[in-house]
Amino acid sequence: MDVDYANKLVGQSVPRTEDLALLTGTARYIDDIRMPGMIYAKVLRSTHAHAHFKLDVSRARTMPGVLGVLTGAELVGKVKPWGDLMQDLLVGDHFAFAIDKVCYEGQEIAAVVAETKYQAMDALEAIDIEYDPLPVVLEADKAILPDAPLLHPNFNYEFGEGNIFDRYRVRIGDIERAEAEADLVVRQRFSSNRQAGAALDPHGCVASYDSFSGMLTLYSSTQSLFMVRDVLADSLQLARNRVRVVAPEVGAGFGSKAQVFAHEVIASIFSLQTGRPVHLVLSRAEVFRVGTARNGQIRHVEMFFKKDGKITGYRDYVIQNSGGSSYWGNQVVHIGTNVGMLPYPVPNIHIDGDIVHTNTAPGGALRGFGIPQINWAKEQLMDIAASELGLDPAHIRDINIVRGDQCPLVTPFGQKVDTTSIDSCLAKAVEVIGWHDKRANKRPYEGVGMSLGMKYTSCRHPSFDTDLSAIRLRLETDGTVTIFSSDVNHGQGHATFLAQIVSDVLGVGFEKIVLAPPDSSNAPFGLGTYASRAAAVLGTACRMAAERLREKIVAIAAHVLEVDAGDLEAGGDRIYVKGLSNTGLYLENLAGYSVYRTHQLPPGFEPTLEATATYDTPTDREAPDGSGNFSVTYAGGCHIAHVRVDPGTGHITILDYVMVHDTGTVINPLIVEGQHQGGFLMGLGMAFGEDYVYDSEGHLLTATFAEYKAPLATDVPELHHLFEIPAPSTTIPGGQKGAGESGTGPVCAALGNAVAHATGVRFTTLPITADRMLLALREKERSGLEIFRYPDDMPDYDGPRGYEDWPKPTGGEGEMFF
Amino acid sequence: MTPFTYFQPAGLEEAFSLVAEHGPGTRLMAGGQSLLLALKERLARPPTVVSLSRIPELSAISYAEDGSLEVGAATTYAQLQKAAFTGWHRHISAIAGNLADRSVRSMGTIGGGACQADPRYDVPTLLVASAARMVIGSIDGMRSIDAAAFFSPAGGTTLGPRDILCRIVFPPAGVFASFGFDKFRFRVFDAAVVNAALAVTTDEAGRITIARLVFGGIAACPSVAGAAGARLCGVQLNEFASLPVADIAAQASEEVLPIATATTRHRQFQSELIKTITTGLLTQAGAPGG
Ligand SMILES: Cc1cc2nc3c(=O)[nH]c(=O)nc-3n(C[C@H](O)[C@H](O)[C@H](O)COP(=O)(O)OP(=O)(O)OC[C@H]3O[C@@H](n4cnc5c(N)ncnc54)[C@H](O)[C@@H]3O)c2cc1C
Repeated sequence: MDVDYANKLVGQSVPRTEDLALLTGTARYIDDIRMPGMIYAKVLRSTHAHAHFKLDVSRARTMPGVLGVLTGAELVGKVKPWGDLMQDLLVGDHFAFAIDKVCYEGQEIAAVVAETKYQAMDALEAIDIEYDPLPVVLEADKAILPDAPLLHPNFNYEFGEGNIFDRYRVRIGDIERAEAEADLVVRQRFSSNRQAGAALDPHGCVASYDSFSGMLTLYSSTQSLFMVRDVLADSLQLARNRVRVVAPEVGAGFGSKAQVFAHEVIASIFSLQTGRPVHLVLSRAEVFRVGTARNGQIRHVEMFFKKDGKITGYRDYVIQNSGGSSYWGNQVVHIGTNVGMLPYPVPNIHIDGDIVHTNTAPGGALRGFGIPQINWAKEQLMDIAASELGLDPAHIRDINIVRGDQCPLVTPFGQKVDTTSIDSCLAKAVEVIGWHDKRANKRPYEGVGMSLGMKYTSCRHPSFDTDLSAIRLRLETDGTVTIFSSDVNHGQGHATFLAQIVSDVLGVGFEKIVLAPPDSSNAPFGLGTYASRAAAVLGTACRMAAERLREKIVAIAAHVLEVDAGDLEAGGDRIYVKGLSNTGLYLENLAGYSVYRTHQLPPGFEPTLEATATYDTPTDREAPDGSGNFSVTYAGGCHIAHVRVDPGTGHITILDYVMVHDTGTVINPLIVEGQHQGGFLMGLGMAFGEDYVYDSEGHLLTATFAEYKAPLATDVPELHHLFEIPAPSTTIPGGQKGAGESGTGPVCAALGNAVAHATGVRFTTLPITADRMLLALREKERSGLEIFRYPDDMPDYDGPRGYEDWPKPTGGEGEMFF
Repeated sequence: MTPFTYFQPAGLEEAFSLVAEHGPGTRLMAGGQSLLLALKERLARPPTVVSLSRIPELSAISYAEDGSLEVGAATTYAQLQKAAFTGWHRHISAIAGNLADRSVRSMGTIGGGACQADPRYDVPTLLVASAARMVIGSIDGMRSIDAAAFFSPAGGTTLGPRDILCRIVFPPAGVFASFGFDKFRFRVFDAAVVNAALAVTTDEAGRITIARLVFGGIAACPSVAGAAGARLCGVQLNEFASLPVADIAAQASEEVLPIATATTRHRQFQSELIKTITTGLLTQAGAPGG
């Protein structure tokens, strides 16, 4: 009998291999690591947002159990600063500790290592510190004012000055002409909130230096082994092959663990000094303060339309709050803005950006990477324009989007959209929610709103000219396969979906494939897991490696069986002659030949069965005018929300939420569904509750899960209206697109539009909390305005209410940035 | 945490002596749901902690001869939620079953909630609205005070350093012709932005004699809207429909949180919520079976 091995695993909802350990509590996270002789470090953090300080650590050094104390001053000249990823330039504005001035609450000032955690905490209390407070600046539009307190007076930025550490500029087409010829101009200032990654597994590490081998091993809850390794080794001036970074189970990151952190450097120094393993895991309050937050943006957006609803131009001045320091901050503006313009191929684009430091939590990467912020502005303006032109919001979108049958298409902004089904996604979502009926028969305090978004699938960052990942595979001598990768799984299901790919290509049983724990000392070089890149970029490397490995295996089989390699097929854990699937040679035997019976190998065959592949996406660098195709392919989707607002309390209930996505070829529907649900949840938190709230002195008031209003399970609607309309990528060999972030981008705007439809209140700031909603409803009644903008139309609002009061970009019209 | 000596007395007398002996730094621990959070963050550093969890009489529920409900201070919310109460006492179960999360309800106690005296919590409002009596003991003996006198206007309780709250005595199940409780919170496990209770007694003719309208979350201790409540007196419950409900609600709001002082968004929100919640409570009280 001939078995059909063509029944492939790619495309099937294979239950996640990872889940058993997660659900039974046997997974080991960073705080579960125990090593012989392990000692504990704790960090003294600034209680001021902006201050000079003086330090005396002499008492702490004599406290019981204390093995070491570190301060910034003593590391100057010994440890190298590292820094913001600027265009082509690394600004060394990150250091293990503040030296004599702090720029945000929570910044590292000193650290102690002791035999126990509690001794370390006691010793921290014995550090004498005197602050000399400085005025603080907490908001982005205040930070650019000439009299604003200066955070980093000693840094020279290539494209900025003062608190502006970088600028952004896009010049596509002729915006003046678009404006002059427009039938309709809509303008609005939108601001967005700061949001935490809020991964339940906190940031932390265990550093272990072995003085015999001279090897420093860092176990860290990180998304990127090699980024951490290279920066850490550089900072400590160690050879990179003597620094090994290993990730335990990582309980999510969402972008917030995609960089090196001071605590990783501090723990490493302590371990180098003491020769003992050093545990340094951050508390929740520390994670909120220094674990990086979404960059807040103020966008002054103008859009130009023709009568029929066609978009002719987009102008924007964005001021981004990247906090006291920011590794990824400027990239968020560049990439988020570029990709965030989709799915509209707008012909004339004019954007200026000032990217600033404020005395608030560091701005980092976070799910969506700038796209939720621009989507919040642009997709609400689409609704405003539709209403001005008397068009249905679905129609105005439909006539402007990139359509599947136009692909491949290059937009004026330079994006090469290889495939998309965004037009079908829109149509499907409209149908499922009953859009036309709900718009026509509106009920009091109920409304529907939509948003379209496209999301990059991985990305060539302007600051690094690379977008690669790699896989090494080894066919073991019992016919099992080991996958080596440095791209850390933190919820994406690497062990599952990579095994699906390998199983299909090699014909090896799914259960025989194991993903080795991520370890920089044995895994091939890759950039890490972020930017929705796992399935597309790592998955492609995996497919390439598997194909290379298969070629080698088949070569041995052809030699032993004395047949032509072209006549052989893989399946059922063996290599067989086409049509004879119950004969052939088991992979186990072939692997055995490859290492134990090398005389059986074809002449010249290099023994062992391993294959490595690295995939670097065919993407562009950013051009001086801001254009370029940074992403290998684009996922996307249409979200429609149906909400009800309680006019007595301002509480908003989501009655229904439809998501229709294009994720290309779906490797594992179960995983992709989970990603979309999680992506939605993150968008929901940003829309309705999560925020970094500061007092006037820059103290964070929301540094606990009690105060920080992340959504609870009870706040999440049934997400049963979740659909995929795959438009397989033609650039990625397997057709897959990124799934991790496309669920987040459209949520805020979809909910904002639904709230506006329900109540006539147009939110221009986030989050839309019950208190804001209720006060807006009351004020709307009092004012008699038919459309009421919150907060722009509130009596006590002190920001710019209209276009006339908008600030102008600070950069002037000089050189282009690149 | 910082180190402390931990005692688990098996009886009240032993607890009284331990507290007296170890001095004012000593902290009592009932369910630990608030205290442990403070200890973990080193916000509280007591040298001595005395647990109330092993004292049987502190977690007993019983009835006095007059039908008053006597609840031991260390009775957990979970116990109260499951108790087979009648009449207005059923609201005690409902309130206990709809605060914080399941683990806090399993460990947390009504006495702990009272002694924590956080104005955003539901227990103080419940106690003041129902005119509960607080039975307090110490090495010097037992006494009892009104709930309204238990909460200090400046925040916290009026307990002395040697005092232990032993029992809470709620009036009998038939005392209130109507009882209502409502609150607004951002998320289901959050403390309330505003909570409110309305307890109504009537005379034989069915006319309202007392209408105690109490709000939590507004001031450092529960706020009683005396004047707004007084407007209900003399009225029949079933005549509520004819009352200017919105007007009374607005008066209650102005009484406990004058709009002139509501200068922050949070305060303005509370002011609006008081109106919404009061309107709801009044409407409910007037409804048949309210
Ligand atoms: C996340 C969270 C959400 C919450 N939400 C709500 C809510 O919505 N509504 C609400 O009502 N409550 C809420 N609570 C509070 C909860 O109701 C508990 O009552 C409260 O945490 C304290 O109860 P406990 O028994 O654990 O007291 P403990 O934490 O043990 O003690 C609290 C304080 O009271 C003192 N104390 C305790 N018992 C006595 C006694 N018998 N005599 C004298 N002093 C005593 C202790 O010394 C301590 O100072 C919440 C708590 C948490 C952690």
